[in-house]
Amino acid sequence: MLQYAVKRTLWMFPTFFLITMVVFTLINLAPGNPGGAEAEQQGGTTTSDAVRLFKQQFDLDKPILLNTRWALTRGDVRERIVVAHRLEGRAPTPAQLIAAKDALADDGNYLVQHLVGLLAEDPAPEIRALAADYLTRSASLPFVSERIGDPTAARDENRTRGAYNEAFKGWRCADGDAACLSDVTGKWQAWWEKERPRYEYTAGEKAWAFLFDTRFANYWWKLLHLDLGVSPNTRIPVLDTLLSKMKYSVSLSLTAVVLAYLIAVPLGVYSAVRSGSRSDTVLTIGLFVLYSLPTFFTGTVLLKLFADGDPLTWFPVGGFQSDAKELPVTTLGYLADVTWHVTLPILTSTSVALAALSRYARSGVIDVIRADYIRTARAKGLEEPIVIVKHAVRNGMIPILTLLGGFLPVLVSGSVVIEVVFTIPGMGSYLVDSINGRDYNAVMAVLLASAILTLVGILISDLSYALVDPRINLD
Amino acid sequence: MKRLMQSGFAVGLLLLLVVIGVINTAQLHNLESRVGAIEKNGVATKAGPAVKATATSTASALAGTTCYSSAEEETASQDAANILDPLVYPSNWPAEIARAGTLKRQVASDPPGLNLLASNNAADLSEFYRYIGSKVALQSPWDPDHWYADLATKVTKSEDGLTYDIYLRSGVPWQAPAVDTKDPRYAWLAQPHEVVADDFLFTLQIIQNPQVVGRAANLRTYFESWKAIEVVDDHHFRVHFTENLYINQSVLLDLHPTPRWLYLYDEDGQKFDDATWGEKQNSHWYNQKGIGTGPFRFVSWEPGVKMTFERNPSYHLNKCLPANFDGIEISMLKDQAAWLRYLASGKLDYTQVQPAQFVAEIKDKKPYLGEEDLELLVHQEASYFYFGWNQARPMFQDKRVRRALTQALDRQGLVDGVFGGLGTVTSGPFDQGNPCYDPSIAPWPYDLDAAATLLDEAGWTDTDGNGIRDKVIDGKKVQFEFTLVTYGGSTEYENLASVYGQALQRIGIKMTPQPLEWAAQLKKTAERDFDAYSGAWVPGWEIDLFQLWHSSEADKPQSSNYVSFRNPDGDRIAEALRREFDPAARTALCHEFHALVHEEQPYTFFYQRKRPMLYWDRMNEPVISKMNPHRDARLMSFSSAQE
Amino acid sequence: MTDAPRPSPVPAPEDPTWSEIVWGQFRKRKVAYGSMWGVVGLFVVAVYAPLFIAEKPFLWNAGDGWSSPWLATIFDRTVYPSGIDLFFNALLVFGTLLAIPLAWMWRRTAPLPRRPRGLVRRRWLTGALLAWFLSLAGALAADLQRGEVYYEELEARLEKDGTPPTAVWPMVRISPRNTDVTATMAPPSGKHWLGTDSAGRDVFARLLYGTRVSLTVGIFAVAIYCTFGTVVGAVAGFFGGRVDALLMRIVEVVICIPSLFLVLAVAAFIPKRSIFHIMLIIAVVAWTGPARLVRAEFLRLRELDFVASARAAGFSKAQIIFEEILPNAIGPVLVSATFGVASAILVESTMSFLGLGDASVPSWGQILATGRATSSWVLILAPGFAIFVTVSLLNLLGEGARDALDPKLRS
Repeated sequence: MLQYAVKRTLWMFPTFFLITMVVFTLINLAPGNPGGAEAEQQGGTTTSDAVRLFKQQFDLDKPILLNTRWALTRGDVRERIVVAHRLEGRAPTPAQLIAAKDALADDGNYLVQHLVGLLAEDPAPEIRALAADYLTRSASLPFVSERIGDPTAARDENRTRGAYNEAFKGWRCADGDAACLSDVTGKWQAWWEKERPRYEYTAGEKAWAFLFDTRFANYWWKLLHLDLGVSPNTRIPVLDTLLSKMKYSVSLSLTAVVLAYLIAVPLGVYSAVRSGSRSDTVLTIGLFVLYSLPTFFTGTVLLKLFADGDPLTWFPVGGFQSDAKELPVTTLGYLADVTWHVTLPILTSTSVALAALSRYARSGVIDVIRADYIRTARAKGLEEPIVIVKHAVRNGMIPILTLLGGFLPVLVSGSVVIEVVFTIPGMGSYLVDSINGRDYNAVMAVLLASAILTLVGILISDLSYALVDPRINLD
Repeated sequence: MKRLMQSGFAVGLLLLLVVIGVINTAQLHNLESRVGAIEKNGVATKAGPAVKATATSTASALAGTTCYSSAEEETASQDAANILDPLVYPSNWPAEIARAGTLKRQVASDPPGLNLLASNNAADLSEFYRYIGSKVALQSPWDPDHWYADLATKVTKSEDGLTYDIYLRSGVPWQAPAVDTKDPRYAWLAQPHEVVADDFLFTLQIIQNPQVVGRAANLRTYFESWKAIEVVDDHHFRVHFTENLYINQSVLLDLHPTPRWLYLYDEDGQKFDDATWGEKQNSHWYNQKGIGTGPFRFVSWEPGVKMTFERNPSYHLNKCLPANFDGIEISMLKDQAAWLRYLASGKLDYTQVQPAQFVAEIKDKKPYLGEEDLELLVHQEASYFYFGWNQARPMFQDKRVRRALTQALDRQGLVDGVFGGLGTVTSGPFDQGNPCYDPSIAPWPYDLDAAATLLDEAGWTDTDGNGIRDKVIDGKKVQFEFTLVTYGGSTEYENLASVYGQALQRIGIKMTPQPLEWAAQLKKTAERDFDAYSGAWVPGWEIDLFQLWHSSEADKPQSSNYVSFRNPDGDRIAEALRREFDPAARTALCHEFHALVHEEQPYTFFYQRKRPMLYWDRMNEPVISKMNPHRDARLMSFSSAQE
Repeated sequence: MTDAPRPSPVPAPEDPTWSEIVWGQFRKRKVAYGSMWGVVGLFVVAVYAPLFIAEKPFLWNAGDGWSSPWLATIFDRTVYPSGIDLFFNALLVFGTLLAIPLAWMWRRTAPLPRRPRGLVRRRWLTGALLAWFLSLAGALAADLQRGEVYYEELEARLEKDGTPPTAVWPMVRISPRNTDVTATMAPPSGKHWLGTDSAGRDVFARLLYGTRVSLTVGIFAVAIYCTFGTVVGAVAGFFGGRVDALLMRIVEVVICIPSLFLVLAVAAFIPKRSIFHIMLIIAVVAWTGPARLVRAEFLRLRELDFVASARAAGFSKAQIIFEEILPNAIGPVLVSATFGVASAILVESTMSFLGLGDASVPSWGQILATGRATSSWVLILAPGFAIFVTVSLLNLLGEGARDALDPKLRS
């Protein structure tokens, strides 16, 4: 038993890693950029620095999973420059143009050795001038994140790098200025003599870059330092936003689950015991109807019936609590206010959970009631209530309890539909907004929370199932 | 034994859940009350002078009168060289204003931050900043060609237009930052500061620093002609330009100060390095809070929930344009279907109404939402909707085809049927209230037969009997089929696309709508990877045609000239307009451009939206600003004190 | 030497086959049996919708001979642009045509005695299916596009001119796609039985044609993922060991990602969503269910005697999987498939409600979203009721199938 538990726990880690890889790749491959892309809208060189820094900060200039930029050749780089600036009579489509420009901006340090080569040896002067221009950007070292490790050391490092980048900022030339070009070429040559080892990669560095100079690797690096990142859209640390939204979702889901269990179990037992009677039939039909209604329908109808004035206005139209001025000060008053607000959402979410659970409860108890050992207990002369409570319920509840583990992830991801219908600022709507806004860090954070809870939930489910059912042999 | 374990386990799990639930709720409340305490104690100013909650003026007494906020301002306005005008109240200024109560309103989503320069660009941001910030001068919301004294009392311009002198008002305090100054960590922010010329210099430095991303990056194009700001003394600075462009003046007068003493320091009071201070602005610790010198003061912001402001008792324009409310509370209500419900239940004081809801629940249905006290105001928005045709695609290169596409769209019918009559069909790329718009140019009429004739003339006929027109281009037969990219998040656009598709089908064109989400749509238009798309622009009051219409912008793939409009006359007008200062000449140039695009139809101009606004009658009828932004809550007021 | 007497290959007529037993049990449960007919009814509604609601007359004579615009445009892509419509129209036309000889032959190929004649029935069935499939492929390949003729307007014009045509019209002369900006959000009336939506389209027509969309999404998505899941589960369960461990890890990875999350993420990945992408999305999320079921069954069944004897008899692995074990393991998968159709319909309508669906086809969730935005009871209740009816019928069917398959509940 213990062996099984340990084995399963160990398996959780590679599974978790795979999950993050799949979702990370998926969300990063989706077309479109996070909100900062609006800065790109205004084209032209004045903004390219800003975009470049934005991308560096969020690793958007790196490839997603595997990095092959160390395999570029001088010919590739030359080709890109020619396409990006429509030289040599080329007429690329806008998409090709943008792709070439982006590649030249993103590949950064990997281009330096080729650009230096082009600057020294290429016959066309425009290409040499452009190479010098790109060098001022590609040769600059990116800033380190001050959120990981020692911030003072990071700040010092950034100061050094800033000075380093400043040194060659002006080594570029306007079109056609031959004197400037030869002057600048000389400067770059001298610089290259000193800095060569930094930008020419050994085999080991290439192998390292292949696996670890990627978005995914950087994400995991930050994760191992427990830094969930900053949202590219709002610039707030994702963890803070997540926690602030989680309290709404968790409260709602928890209450709904607890209520569902509290109602489902007695209902199921009652239904099973009185199986076949009229009340059982009515109950079964009622619960079946609940089960077949979509959540968004129930929510919308309830809202319109009871809150919209069509015909009643017993409940508020949405939200989680009243405005600050009307918020009661005492905890009890606060609880009452929140309850008033969340009655309809909880009613909606409970109804679905309830329907499913009570059917399991009923069938579980029915199975047990028909079993032989119950007949034995009755034959032994035990009273009916004792028979039911002592044997039937305890054994019939086994399948339901193992479902409990499955509810853990629901606590976190919340219900998107309910949050949309009732305007609750919880995790579900946060997730939808983040996916739409391509807020990669937020999406990954929500996923991590759900995935961890799901894995733990499954583990608990399986373990408890093994624990309570003697027939299961795990080895 | 095992039995016991089983039942114990089950009960234990359930109990755990209950306990967690109770703890959670209790924690929630604790957090809330603690936050509330901070809001009330550490951040609020000491109780300012009690503002009387009574009416301040009688009827028409104020309308049309001039007001000076200080003696200094009055003296400065008498200087003939001053390009600022004295403040004159509009004719629809409310008679009775109760300067009390909290205004409750909503927006659909959070702004990206409250740092006007470093937060990502979004139109919403300036809407929030207007409550707390002030600029060099205040552009009159009701008469946008006039600028009133705000932070500056006098601005003069040199003969050649390359130098401006700005004289600042004295004694304007910065609002206290929204932190708990009793906390020793923030003790360095405890002392008060005044607005000085250096603050404006700092703003320019931020904009010109290439490390700053966000809105500053977009603004850089407007500041290309700024050579330098010369700080003469604390209340006087001088701006030098490299060229005399028309927009220089409005950009200058719209400049806002940024407190160096706050934004150059991290949360513990350590100054940033010279090498990286620009980059630090992007994720500055104060970006989720606001600071300024405006009529309101930022109090708190809970993202996704609400933002609150309170009256700034030391507002320098308190005499003439005081804050009309004691506080403002803005809720973030993403679900637009909920706005009306919130309004009806009293959680909001006013709200915009979406067209679908307007048609379903409001139009001709007095009393609105069953409430006697709700009033309706329908006002024009300074934005226009259009369909853009990608002129790099062969089928859209003939202007007759584009005109046919315009005439196939029943614009008035759509406005009446789908948008509930909330709009006016428009014919040009300007706001209809702007003098640049030529009202004598009527939109092309809806005429399917005329459209069919135009298409025939352009060579598109149905030669193969499949109901779709075709033409031989470069030796290949091309069917007239195209995709229309629309914003997938709203039913109105979807309905629009369906109606248009049906109409086009009648004249033999196959149009397939492609609803995309915002990020994907931006990408497609930026990369020119589309046939046609539907969009909207919000033009500013000062017209600059360059960005959207100049052919040099068409060559830059990520610029705003998405449709690749290239026209030598258009280029000439755009360049001339940049340097033309005479209003009559400007209007003539604009009208010429209007006629040009009407003839060329690079866009099919659709309509200019009218927004219905429902408000409780305890509010005065809102004064609507002529420019964008046009829902200025500073121009709203209660007519009677709220309880 | 004489051959030893061999037992007769024909089993005694009293011994029913497994499928007959299950079918018998199913028929005894009135509710489930009724719900099966309910689902058939839904299917009939979906297939025969154009007979009831269409804009083209069945017969038309404007003085120059008789024609049938309805039949001529039944496969026209201008009138029915979606592939779903083509599929159902093929069922309508060719299916009905093929059903007639099939029904006639059904009686004649009744199982008695079983073996020889049973073959013939199967042959007829496969023949009919093949013929239908070919005709559908033909209709799709032909890609007819002959332009739209608006017969109602034509009729009005001719009547005004004084030369009225003779025409036989369907009962409701409306198309679900036609917008009408002059009559948006109209209340129910004689012309529009359930009123119109915000673009002026008839709600009742959209509701009816929405049945096609829901059933297609449900059935196809389930077919895809059940097949895929079964294969994966079979391989994992049969081979066990490392293959099993690897496949189950993959299954765990997919399960651990919350399904709505996966749906949203994959939906963001595909910007241009068509109904087929939605089916794919649902399949990606749901294939793990059948996989685990089949695996569990295989793990149980492969230890039994009949497998050992098949192995001893020299059957190949594939043969064992597909001919011996799979037929026995298929029961739970069928039940799960039925419930899967119901849940696929719910997922699709939720996606349309949230705005993530395909906007070019009429979908119940989308109508409900419009109803919520415009706060209209008709637009909320009608599609809600439709979804409720469909889902409950399918759930009842699934429960009946499950009970029928359960050997412990034989009566």
